[in-house]
Amino acid sequence: MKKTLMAAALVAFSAGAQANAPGGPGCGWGNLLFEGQSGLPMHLLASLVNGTSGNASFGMTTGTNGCDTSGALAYRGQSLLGMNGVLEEVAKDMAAGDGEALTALSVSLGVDATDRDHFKNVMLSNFANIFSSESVTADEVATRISAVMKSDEVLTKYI
Amino acid sequence: MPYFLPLIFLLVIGLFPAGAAARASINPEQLRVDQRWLMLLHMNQGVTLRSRGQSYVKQDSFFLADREHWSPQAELVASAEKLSPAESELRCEFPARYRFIAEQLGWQEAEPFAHCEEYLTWRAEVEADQLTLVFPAAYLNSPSSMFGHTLMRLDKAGQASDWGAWAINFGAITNAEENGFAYAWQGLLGGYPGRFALVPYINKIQEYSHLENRDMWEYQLNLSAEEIHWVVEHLWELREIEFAYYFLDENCSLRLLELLAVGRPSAPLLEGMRLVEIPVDTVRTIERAGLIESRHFRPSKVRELEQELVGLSRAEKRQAKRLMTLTPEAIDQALAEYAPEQRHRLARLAYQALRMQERSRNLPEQNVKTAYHLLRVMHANAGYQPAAIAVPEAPEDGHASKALTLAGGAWEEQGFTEIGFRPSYHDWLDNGTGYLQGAGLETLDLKVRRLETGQWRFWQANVVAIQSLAPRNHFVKPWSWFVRGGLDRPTSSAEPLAGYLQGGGGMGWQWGSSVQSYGYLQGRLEHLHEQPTLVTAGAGLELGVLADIRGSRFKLSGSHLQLSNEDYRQQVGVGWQLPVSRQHGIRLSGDYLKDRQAQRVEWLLAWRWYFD
Repeated sequence: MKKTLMAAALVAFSAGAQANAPGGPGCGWGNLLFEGQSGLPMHLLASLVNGTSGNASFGMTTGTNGCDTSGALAYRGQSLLGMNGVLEEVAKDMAAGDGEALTALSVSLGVDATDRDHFKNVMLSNFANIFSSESVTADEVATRISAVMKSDEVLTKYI
Repeated sequence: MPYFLPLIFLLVIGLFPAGAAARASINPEQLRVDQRWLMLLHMNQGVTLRSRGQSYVKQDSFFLADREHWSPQAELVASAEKLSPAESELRCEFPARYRFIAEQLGWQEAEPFAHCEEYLTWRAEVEADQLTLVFPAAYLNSPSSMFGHTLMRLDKAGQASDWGAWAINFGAITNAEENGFAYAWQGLLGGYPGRFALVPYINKIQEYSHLENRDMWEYQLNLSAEEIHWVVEHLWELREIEFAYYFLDENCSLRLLELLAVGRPSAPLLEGMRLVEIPVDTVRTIERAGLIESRHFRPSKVRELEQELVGLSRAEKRQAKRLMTLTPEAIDQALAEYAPEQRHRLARLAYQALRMQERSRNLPEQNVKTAYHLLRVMHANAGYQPAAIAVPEAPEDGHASKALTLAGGAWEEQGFTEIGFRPSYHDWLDNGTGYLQGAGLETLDLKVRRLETGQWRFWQANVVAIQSLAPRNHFVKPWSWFVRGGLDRPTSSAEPLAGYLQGGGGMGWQWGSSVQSYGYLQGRLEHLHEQPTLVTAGAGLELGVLADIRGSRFKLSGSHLQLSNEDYRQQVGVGWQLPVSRQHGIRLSGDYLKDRQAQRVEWLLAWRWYFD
């Protein structure tokens, strides 16, 4: 009970900070690989009406938070890697060589189904290069993925 | 008004001679209101209480006919008139309406929306071959989500990843300035406008599967390309439209059913009256209507974590937990004795657990280094792939939402019969298939009794009862809690009736795959009928065990409550329910209660029937 009340009290405070805000330079949100977030209390109550705060987007208005969504990694107008929580998933999949996030990444880069396994292998072997430290940003990761693909004779055609 | 139609017809022809050639054969009497037209206008044909016989939409901009003498027929005629000219801007607003009329009147234009640049851009972007209904299931610790939610997804044929697919979501637009109580209240009473939104599906995965730890069920529907076309075109017509959002009936699920009915008007999706539209019932409706082609389960992050625990020894789990707090050097040391695959597994488990913690609160800088190093360990020991996640029983295969109970019992020496009705939804002992173990949500649980004397007695009314038992393990430490309120008979005598509110919090644990135990600290406020004190307060604790025994459910609990009027209550309850079939169950329950005045024992043998 108390938890619910606390959550209720927090809604007004946290609803302003969108949990899924896209990242990138100029966004005002840091992009640290392991940055946490505190969106949970908001979600507890938002789930009552499955609501969103502010304007409902309708497909064409995403990615308008002043963020730079340039590059091949832009995803539905947002930066895939810049989305909260995506970078950590991609990092995990890349360290293991497979997973849903890595598949999604390959799709967003336009990698054909026939080259997907190759892409995953290349990412696996370049993990330490792409995620070179714990403070790497989404932008740096994106740049390095591009560089790795460019120097691979199969994947270079996608860059 | 039959004379009205030819008049409009003449008007149309007269005003737009350019279109006249193509439309020489138009017969306005061909304009026929049918189910699809009613759905395009969001007419309430007796489906919910409010706005019966009217459109759910109240915005004038949604209607092209005069609002004073408005009818679906008048709207059809006015729409035909206004959408007829090739250059009509309204076509860009109402592409589905245009198509409906064009089909009825046989208009044949190659590119009717050539001048609608914005619409065409959008339409190309949301091109879809397949429609998927998505049901994020209950989230244990959030009462508001226990009914679940429904949304839809637009898929391309053979897509390798659905992260980039568009999700169609109907939800309330809330005001960030509002405080939490106003928020919940308004949500129930329709104070917020509801709107359709189109967002990348990855946002929804993050919201439900990553952040709220809700499993998601995805049902691929068998709508044809033509039917999906109708749905998408109509969706565009709703982009500026606000509906009132009511939590109970005019909610996400009802709106999605309407949307599907636009695609396939012949499907029995909106039959009968409902006071509540529960998302899982929506899934059942769609299944009954034969729309489901296949089903896919998307596990939440918590379930993925639990899967990682399977097959690990207690010592290994402890080791993984320890890794979460170690420095990089210490991690290497701790893992030195393990084989590469185990190293990878333990590092992966620790990483996932660390990420899970961080999703709900910010962690210190040091953990960042730990998490990163765990990834390096995983990478250095790559080759392990986690086992496929066991798919639980599907929610739509669970018992129906309403329950009727017939019972016979004994209160001390006195026999009685009892009739109970509960419009929704599930308690701990109900047939468990398809429901989250340890989650209970009941509204308006009513009971009447016929005593041995032949007298009928209103016995009990729980307005709401929510029970959450969220097991703690090495890695996740949720709180368990319950709250209930209404009218009950809490003392050792059958009188008096009390109005009450009771709640508590505590912890729960899982033992093996089928036993759970819990402990709550609890408080209670009550007002006893015909008693001088307005409110009596109480505090105490409750301990209990829940078990699943070969599909039957068992519960044993004991509680103590100390009251402000120097009275007390000690209670021991036992319950056991045997599922006879999906929609039937037999329940045996016993309850012992002792207070300052006396003690009593009550036994009950009940037949429970679940229905829609």
